[in-house]
Amino acid sequence: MINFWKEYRPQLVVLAIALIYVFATAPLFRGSAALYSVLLGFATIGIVALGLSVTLIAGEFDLSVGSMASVAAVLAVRLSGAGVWAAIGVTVVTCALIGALQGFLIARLRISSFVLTVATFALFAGLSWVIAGGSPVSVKDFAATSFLYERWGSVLAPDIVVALVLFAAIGLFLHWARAGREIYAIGGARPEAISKGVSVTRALTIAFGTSAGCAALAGTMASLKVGSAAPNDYGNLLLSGVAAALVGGIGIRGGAGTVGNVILGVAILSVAASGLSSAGAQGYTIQLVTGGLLLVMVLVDFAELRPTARTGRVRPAKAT
Amino acid sequence: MSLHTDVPAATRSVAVGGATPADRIRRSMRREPVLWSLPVLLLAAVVIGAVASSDFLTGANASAILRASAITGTAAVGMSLVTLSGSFVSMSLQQTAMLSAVAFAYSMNAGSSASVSLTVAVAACVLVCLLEGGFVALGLNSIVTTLAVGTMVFGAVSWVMADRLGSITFASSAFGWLTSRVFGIPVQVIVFAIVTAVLTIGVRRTVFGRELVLVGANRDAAHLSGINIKRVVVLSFVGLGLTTAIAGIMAAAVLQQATPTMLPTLTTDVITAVLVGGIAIGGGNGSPIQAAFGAVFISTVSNVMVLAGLSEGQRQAVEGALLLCAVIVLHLVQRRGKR
Repeated sequence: MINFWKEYRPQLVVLAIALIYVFATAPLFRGSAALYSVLLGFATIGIVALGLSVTLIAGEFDLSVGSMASVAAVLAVRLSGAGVWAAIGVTVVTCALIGALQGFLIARLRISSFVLTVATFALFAGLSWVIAGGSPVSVKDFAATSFLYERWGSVLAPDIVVALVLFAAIGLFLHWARAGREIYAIGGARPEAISKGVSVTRALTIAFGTSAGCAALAGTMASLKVGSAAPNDYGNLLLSGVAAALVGGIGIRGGAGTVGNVILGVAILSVAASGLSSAGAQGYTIQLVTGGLLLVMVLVDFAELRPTARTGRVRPAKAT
Repeated sequence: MSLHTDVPAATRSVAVGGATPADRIRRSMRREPVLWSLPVLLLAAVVIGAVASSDFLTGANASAILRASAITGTAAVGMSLVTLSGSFVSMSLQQTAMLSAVAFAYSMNAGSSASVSLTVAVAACVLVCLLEGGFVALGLNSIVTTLAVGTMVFGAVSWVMADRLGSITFASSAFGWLTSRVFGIPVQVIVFAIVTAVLTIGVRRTVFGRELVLVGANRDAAHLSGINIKRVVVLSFVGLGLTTAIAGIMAAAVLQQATPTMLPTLTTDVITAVLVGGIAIGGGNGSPIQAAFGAVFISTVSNVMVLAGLSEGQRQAVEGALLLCAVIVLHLVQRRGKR
């Protein structure tokens, strides 16, 4: 318990402040309804942040997740005529493979992941327009996707269960699987890992495949639930995902952070967002709070660095 | 192309006795492929455009292409300062440009004079960029910082504008000249050209400019030679703030209104211009004029696609594919050059 407190101290403090604030200001934010709305955040922002965190742990950055989620959203709606499960499966697998290809190229070409994914960020945004045919698309058979609205008990729903299972699976993978440990090694001490025979290509292919697959799953479930998708509908998920991962304390320098960090980050953002909207706040207030939290937590993370790590000089750029 | 007058100092000093100018040019072309590749691509786009449509090679169309590139190009030239100094790019360009446009429109609507409105708009934009630059100079990651600040700017502006149904329209004859022409050249294009010339000369020919490039090329060497790195980083963001403010004001003058969601693709377009222009993303290699060429190139390609009847989404996809090819090819070329 004490270890838990030590490891996640800043996040737990912020989560407590957020909870106290929303309980004080939003009288309707109570009980299982509140828990349900917080958990819903795990199905969208949460899944994106989870995938993004894997690339952050590998010491890289995937800027294309928002556009990827938009591509998946449109693609899944277009394919939904062939069956909902087929649409979800084909979309997620396709996007994961594209993501894996990105990771492979980043490792093989030794190109900065930021540069490559800022290009695919633009490319996928355009693709989502092309796939949609330039205008919003909607599901033909609403009865087929209505099961996504089912509620199991008071706080569980299909997309929430998928999210929770995914968090558990990726958490176990990162902690116990050899390939998962290799992602930490590649992110934390790349030259040393390479000299010990760890494959950069394998680690980055898995990491970017995971982040693209997760983004696709989030976009797919969200669009099928609503029954429609507009081109580039989910571009904002990039910011929310980055914010959740970094607010949760996944280091931007790589090799650090666990699924526990992601869960706390998503919980903080989700409590703030659903609490604020329950108190009647507008979307822009939530954006303002998200941006502010991100900035504050990045500053806290920076201030907590060992003094030797900041000599007053700007750290050398990591790209190229 | 005028780019050849811009050969880096290192190449110039290599030219020993006996080398003819032709030799020197050949050598510099081999060393700096980015210097000739973009003009060649631009020429290719022009040829394709001329073949594809008879409307392409007209004075009116050339003017339309340049005008379309003015807003993106002006911001891209400023962004090149941040990239050259090694801070990658700012992800908050759309929001800061929008902030200056909204501040400008607000001030004009409140009855302030033109000069006061301009000052307010530039000050707001520069202040936000100064804040970003300060955080980045401290050592925070520039991408994350600018993402966060950009979101906050968007949230704050939307909040302020909520009672105005989210948009400010203003009709002012005081800024008609921004959309007019001088000797047949649109004023925006002249502004774009002046900003490009000033910053290019500033980077290539002044002490501060050389310091900026050195900070991007090798932070340790810059530190050891006594350059104040924090100052350089902050000033590069101030430069970005100035050009972004100019771009935002031009956009407000063209659209005659300002909304929080205006210029939705500006950030991507500007990053595309900088990278397609061949400026190294890690910093230390390139010149602001390359970003200007990048912006003109993109707007030429976009114009060809419009004439070929492609939809907006298809144009975005092609632009994204071009960017992807450009970053991979440039990366490979620059890596080969380093060996």
